[in-house]
Amino acid sequence: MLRKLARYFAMEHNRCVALYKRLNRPGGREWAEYLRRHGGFYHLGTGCSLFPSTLVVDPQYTWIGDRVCLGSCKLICHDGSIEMLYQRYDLRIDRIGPIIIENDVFVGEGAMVLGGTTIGEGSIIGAGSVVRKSIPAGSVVTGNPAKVVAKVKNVIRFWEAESTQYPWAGLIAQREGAYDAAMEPELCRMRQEYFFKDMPR
Amino acid sequence: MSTLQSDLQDVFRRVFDDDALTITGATSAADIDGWDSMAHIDLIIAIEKQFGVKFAGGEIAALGRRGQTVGDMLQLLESKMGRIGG
Repeated sequence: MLRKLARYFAMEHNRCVALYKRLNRPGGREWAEYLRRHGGFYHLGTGCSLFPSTLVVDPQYTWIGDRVCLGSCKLICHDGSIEMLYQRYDLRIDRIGPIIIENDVFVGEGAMVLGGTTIGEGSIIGAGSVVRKSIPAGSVVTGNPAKVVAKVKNVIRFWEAESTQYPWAGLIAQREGAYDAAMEPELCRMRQEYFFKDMPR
Repeated sequence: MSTLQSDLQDVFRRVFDDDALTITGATSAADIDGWDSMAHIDLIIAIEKQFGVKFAGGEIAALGRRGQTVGDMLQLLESKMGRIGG
């Protein structure tokens, strides 16, 4: 009951948010819905997934399309060094740029996206990447600075081929979406058997 | 070295940006710097383009298995191109 109340106040009135987070531990989709309503984004589309651990420093300068999935990454539009430049050199400058993440983008764990960049539709940003320049649509990027290492349309062929070789390929073929709680215990058992077959537990 | 292996070596040199790279039948991913999973994708796509073939899902999976050699690749390529030897 308390959970539902906390969720209601957070979602509908942007109140009791800390309590809501503590009691409900919202997943990526639910938290994205909260942010869509109250997160202060210039635009945050529908069907997105953003974890509470994702850090969006300047949501007011951040434009995120539909079905975007962000892991625990950081999005920073401004350059914090201007504070030091002001104090030490009396420089009054502005260094800031928008972040635009187009539809159907995935950003992996620990990645950082800096201001003045656009991540093109359908791209995959690898874990730990630092995106300092715009990324063309349909790219797979990794590294610091992030570089295009492949096209998603090519990678898909390889990942599909790999998946069909797993002993649990049949389960994956039946799965709706990327996660099914009911299927997970059996999947986990099969994966462990495959990964650690001859290793002591 | 067969013509096919020589042509394949040219593809390897282009993909790994190394004009001195030499391949043998026993060469595997462990022998070439930068032959990781992403470079493997580039390599297979480049081979498909160069030789005008298209690998099926099972063939792609087989080529990606640990321990696969250039020899295995050549054998598959020969069978797809319908020719034995160079």
